[in-house]
Amino acid sequence: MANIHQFDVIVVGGGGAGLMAALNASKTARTAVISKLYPVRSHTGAAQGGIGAALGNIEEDSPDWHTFDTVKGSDYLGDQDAIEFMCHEAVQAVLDLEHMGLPFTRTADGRIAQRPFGGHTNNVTGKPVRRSCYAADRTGHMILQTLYQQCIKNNTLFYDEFQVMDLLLVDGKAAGVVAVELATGELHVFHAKAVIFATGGHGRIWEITSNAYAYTGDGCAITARRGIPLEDMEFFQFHPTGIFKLGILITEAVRGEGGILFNAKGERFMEKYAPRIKDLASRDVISRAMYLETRAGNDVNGQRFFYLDVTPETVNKYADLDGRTRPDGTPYHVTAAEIMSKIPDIADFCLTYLGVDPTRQPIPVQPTAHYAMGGIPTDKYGRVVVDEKNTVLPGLYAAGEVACVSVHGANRLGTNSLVDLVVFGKHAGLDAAAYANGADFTPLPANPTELVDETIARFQNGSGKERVAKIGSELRAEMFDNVGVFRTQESLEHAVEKVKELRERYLQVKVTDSGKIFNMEMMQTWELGNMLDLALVTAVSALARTESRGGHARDDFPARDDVNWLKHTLAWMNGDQVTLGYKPVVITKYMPKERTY
Amino acid sequence: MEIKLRVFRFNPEKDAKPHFDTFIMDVDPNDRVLDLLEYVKADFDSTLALRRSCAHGVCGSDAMRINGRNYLACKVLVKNLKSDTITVEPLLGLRVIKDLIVDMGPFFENFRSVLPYLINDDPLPADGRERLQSPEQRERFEDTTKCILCAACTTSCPSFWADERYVGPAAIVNAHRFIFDSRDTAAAKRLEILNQQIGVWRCRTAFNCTEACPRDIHITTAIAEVKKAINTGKLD
Amino acid sequence: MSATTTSQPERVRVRKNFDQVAWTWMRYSAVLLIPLAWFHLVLQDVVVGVHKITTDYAIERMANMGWKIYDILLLGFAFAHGMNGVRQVFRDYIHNPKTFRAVSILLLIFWAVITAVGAVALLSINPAAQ
Repeated sequence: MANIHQFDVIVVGGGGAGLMAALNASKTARTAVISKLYPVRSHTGAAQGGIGAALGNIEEDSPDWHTFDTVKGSDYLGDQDAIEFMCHEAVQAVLDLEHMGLPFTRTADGRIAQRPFGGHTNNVTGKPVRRSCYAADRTGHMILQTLYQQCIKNNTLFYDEFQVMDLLLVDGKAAGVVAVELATGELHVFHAKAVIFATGGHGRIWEITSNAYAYTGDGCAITARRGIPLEDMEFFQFHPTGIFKLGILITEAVRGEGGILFNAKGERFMEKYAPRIKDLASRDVISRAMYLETRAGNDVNGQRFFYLDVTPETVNKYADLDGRTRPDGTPYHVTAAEIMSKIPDIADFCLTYLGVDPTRQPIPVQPTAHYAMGGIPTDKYGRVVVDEKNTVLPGLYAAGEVACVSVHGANRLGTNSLVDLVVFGKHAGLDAAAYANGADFTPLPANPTELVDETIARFQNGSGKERVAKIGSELRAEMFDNVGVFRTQESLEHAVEKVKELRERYLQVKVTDSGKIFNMEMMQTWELGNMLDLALVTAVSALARTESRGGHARDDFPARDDVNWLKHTLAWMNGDQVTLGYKPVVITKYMPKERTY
Repeated sequence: MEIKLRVFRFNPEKDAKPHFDTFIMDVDPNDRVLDLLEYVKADFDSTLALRRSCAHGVCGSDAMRINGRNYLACKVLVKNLKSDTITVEPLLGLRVIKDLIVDMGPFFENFRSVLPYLINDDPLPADGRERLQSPEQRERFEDTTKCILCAACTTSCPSFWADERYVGPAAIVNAHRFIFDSRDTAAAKRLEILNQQIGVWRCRTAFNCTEACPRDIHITTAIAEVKKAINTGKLD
Repeated sequence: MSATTTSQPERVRVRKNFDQVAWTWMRYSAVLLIPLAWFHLVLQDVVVGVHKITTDYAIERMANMGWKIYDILLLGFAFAHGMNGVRQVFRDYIHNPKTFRAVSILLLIFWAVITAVGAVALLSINPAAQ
């Protein structure tokens, strides 16, 4: 029999959202964090450029402008009540992080430094605004470290390197989770009043991705298997500036500091696609522009990449052309040393992986799968909602990239992922603790580990005719080619069929490692199953949506269609069948308009 | 190019003693050593166990010994090793659990022992805004904020090999990050903790830590600054 | 405008620890040993000349009480530096605090005995009596 633990609140995942939830839940409720990685290994730490908040430390700004920019960035698919809530909470959230000790870069007068970022504008002038609060180009690292430090101070209880494999729902309420302890292979049942999923995204289903190996969509797949729908899964952000071939992220802050994108002809091509804010247009717009440039034969060497140039000569030349100034009104001119101090890690990545010094040479970049706008549907308190009417499932929460509130709609603005995880991590934690304090434990099912036992037995007894690595690489290639930046009916139908075929073949895999201690092969086999589920939901959701909006761009339906498609997709999984439903977008102040930058 | 990859293997459920497996493979000189280990898992032996996550040097999962030196496997390219034989072993000084996976418990215990969090019970600024800090004050501890707790430094330290109770370079780096933060009030407490026989005085300035750090933190300098602060009581 | 609200104290008091004193002693004594060793080297090998150092010369010099005291102090000092170094090496190998304490005391005794033997030997040199 498995080991049984009891907690008021269980947080699954130790990244930014999970740690934020744990810090807040543990103020009033017995809380534990279960994480498949040591929390400091989480992918929050890879976030670079900054966290958006209208502090107005350098120039005039307002949370309302942040709200509008986010609504517009979402291509009007974000829920405006939630966006407004997030952008107003963002200011306090950033100050809270500072009070916890986060070492933000500082302005000369000692305040938190801010810089421009894609899609963040002064709503009066339409020009970029300095809203991204940053710590060099390691803002995510600092957030993750700071939150982990606070957890140590707070004596937060961690179950590190425990992989949650199943969610227990009894009588329509959350009852706990089942996890395997990687170090021993033992199963543990965590009986809880409230469960918060903060497991991150699933970018690993694409070939070129900025995402960590750990980003296999575990949370979405576990909940989908238990009958909870997934929202807006067709919307996945391709970040325009990943390192060529490797997909490692080159932050938007490089363009915020003045970097310019060029095609093979040496043209600053973003002038054509976003005449007003050019290289600081939002990510979906630039990724699409790169695709169109590629189709026109303007990519470098016909290899589908472009150059991002942040050498001082280029930065200064175009800053003069754009009339860019510093806060004190002097022309914006930079030196190589200043660039290095603003983006030290980027410079390090370029030198390590490309042998390129970004202050002297341009960086080869291409779109890279980056962020899941979709996920487990929640309200703004992180409560999971399970149908078109937003019915809450008592005791179940989600926050961070795994969740779809939806504040990012069809496309997330840069810096808003960190805002999302801090704000909604906090509120999910607070609400879960409040709920747990007013609720009783739901009794565990008779055999709580049944599904996990079955899954493990299936892996051990498979025929072994198929191999996990082979299926995984075929999946990633298929998704990148056919469910990538641009999609068509044909490519999506191909992808649906291919993923179904891979799912068939997946039933034939066998885990050759028969041990219990750190059976990483078992874990990766299970993770592949999650990715296959999410790939299918993504492709089916994308096939149904016959319009182009934000991160979902259809060659055969190039226009946004607000009449038929201003609505969220909900997808339920049942074996190989995906059932789709839709729910309306919450619109409060901002009526959908054409989106230009 | 053809590479001979030798990988340390130990399965606690089967092996009495560790051994090396050798794989001959054709690789790109620009491949990361982590890519090679993934090729092993995909094409040769799927049971190989290692930790990895971000694959670009920011999460700290895949610190290991490569040709006798500590690296992150995702941050060292084949061509940079300048050798057609690559030997991969787990970190030294921590108990090997399986293959390249070591017990990180003592490492994190040491980290926790130095109060690695901001301590400041003074009231927040009356306007509720940020505590002010000049760019110069911020710069004072910039270097040590970069630590990703990968353990490459601590497990390259001969003093730590000799005695794992020594808090080790990583813990001192994280203490340094707060000792020199103008917003922190508990420097005295941390210096007290580090002024013990398992503290900074175990550092013999071997510089292995500085050499091993994948984040290029000047660790030995940071340790020296902590020693100096203990001796002088000054935090500048 | 002041850009700071520094909470950090300017100075802190840290209680002394034996390892701290021992570590600091190693540094300062090492620095002092350098001129002492050089002085010795220059005096004997250059000023006096290496070929002139004979038993007679040594005995003659040791007749001087000042040199006797100087050499005794140098012995005690340099040897203490060495023994402290040995003690720090043992730190790495002896993990049991009680054993380590015992070994440290033995090293101290060893230092005292050798220094005392040296002192007695030096003091007993008396050319007039020969």
